[in-house]
Amino acid sequence: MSLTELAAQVQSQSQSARSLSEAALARLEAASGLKATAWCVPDAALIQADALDRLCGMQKDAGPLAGVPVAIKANIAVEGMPMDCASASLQGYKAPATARAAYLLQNAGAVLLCGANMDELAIGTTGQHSVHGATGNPLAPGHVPGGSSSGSAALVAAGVVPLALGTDSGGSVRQPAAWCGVVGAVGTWGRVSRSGVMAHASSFDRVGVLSQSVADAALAMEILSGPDSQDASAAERDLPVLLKAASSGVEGMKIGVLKQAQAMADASVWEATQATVEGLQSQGATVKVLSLPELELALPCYRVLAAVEAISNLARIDGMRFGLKAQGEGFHQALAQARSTGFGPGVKERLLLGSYLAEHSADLVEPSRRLRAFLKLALFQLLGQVDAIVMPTTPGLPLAVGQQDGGTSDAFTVLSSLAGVPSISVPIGRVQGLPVGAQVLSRLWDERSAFRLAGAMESL
Amino acid sequence: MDLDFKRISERAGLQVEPQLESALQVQVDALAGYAKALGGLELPEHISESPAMPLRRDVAMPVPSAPVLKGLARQGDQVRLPGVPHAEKRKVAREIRPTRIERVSDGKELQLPSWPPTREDA
Repeated sequence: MSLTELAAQVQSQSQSARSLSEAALARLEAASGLKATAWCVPDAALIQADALDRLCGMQKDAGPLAGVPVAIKANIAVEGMPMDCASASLQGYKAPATARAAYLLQNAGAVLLCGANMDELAIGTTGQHSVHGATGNPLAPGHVPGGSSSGSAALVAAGVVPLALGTDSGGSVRQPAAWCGVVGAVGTWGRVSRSGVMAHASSFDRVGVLSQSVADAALAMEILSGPDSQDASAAERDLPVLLKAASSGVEGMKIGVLKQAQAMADASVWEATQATVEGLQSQGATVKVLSLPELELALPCYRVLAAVEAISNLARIDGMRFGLKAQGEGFHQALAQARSTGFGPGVKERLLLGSYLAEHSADLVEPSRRLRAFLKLALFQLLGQVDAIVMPTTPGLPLAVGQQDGGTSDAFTVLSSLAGVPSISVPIGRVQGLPVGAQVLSRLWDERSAFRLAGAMESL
Repeated sequence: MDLDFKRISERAGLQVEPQLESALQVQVDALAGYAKALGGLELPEHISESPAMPLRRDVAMPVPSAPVLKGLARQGDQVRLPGVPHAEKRKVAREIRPTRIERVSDGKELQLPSWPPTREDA
């Protein structure tokens, strides 16, 4: 059932918001083995649901998401709830206010049911690095769900909630969405406010949605889009009409396919993507092969710049103001003690890389900035020739638990991240029994084309 | 690879944990090929002056080309062309006709709200 249908049932009182939340809480309990949650306060969820039911009882509009239970990634603030970002360094910290994105969902009638587990401080691609434990993949047991929005993807895939919020710097919404067989969408950088979201790499960070269908993602993005007085990077653009676009077909659209992606992807993943492109052709789209020779440099470029930004953003976790309290003689010793105790190995490795890069600004960081601008312009040029680009979300299949890939699963998602263009990952079936996704990239502020194409991909 | 792990750890605000040194070494080694590839690229110097992030309403573009702008600009966008000669600007504007062009190179702002250009723009 779509979000729109669920909300209509609650609005018409044919089903209560409380019953929806109670059912979701029961599913959450049954899926506890997935370790997909960071926090859950059932009474708080039921209070929200009861308030919505009273509103509907008074024949008042409860919003387009009336009664829909949603999960919020643990790095997005919900007032009074834990916001530990899956890190021991922030254990015990509670959010003093609600993030704009979570507020907008709540204001649209959604029930904020639980916090979703994640890779610590949004650094990771497997969902295995969290103080709350390693998240499982409900569609591929024995395999990782991807990350860092691992819990958000797992909760949607398991049917616990129909919608979850995630954050995406290098692919943290789209990559777990692909590996868990759900839809993951991010808009143009600046489309959705990030106030109340723990910063990781600010020039990349985006709030995105994970859902069971493209239409649900489109509705959620419509609700989330818009300016915010608390976040100057949230743009004052015309609000997009996306729900209708998701079902308007691809007749006449021109799709680009990057030929370099073929060499970088597993053959089976590439074949599945090609089959999707051919399906779109059969629906009236035309295909153009495009070339971006520097595609393989996108991932190391992202890694360098993200590490440099992370070391700055994470400096705020100092053991003084919130979370784990520092102990030791003198500021520097106490700070190092608190951070070394509180951070997991993945975060420490990212910080060490950022620190190393500080000494190599001239030969690595500055050229990477220039490469980013170069890749952006090259991508804009390619998008000037087509309506959107379709490529695999990840080069390979979901990793088995314990398997290492050197973090290359983000090799394709970082392209959108570097340029800040909209991107949506859509499930395109299974390969060797494992979920696979393909992503759409469209022009800046043109989420409509991305959703149009994503909707058609879903219908194949 | 020159790697002073103690100094790097201290700058990262971490205690020195020798077991992480090999993990850092792996990351650094992985970047060696990338650094070499960067050296082989001819990245125009002026690109380093462009913003790292997309702007809100208008788009800063160093040395634009019409195909790039077509991929970037939507109708009603203001496109800034700092330092671009006026003749070149008009040439680009002709190709991306629906887009309003704004010039700020000399401190003044000239706008082409529609095509053909107004007398002030010419």
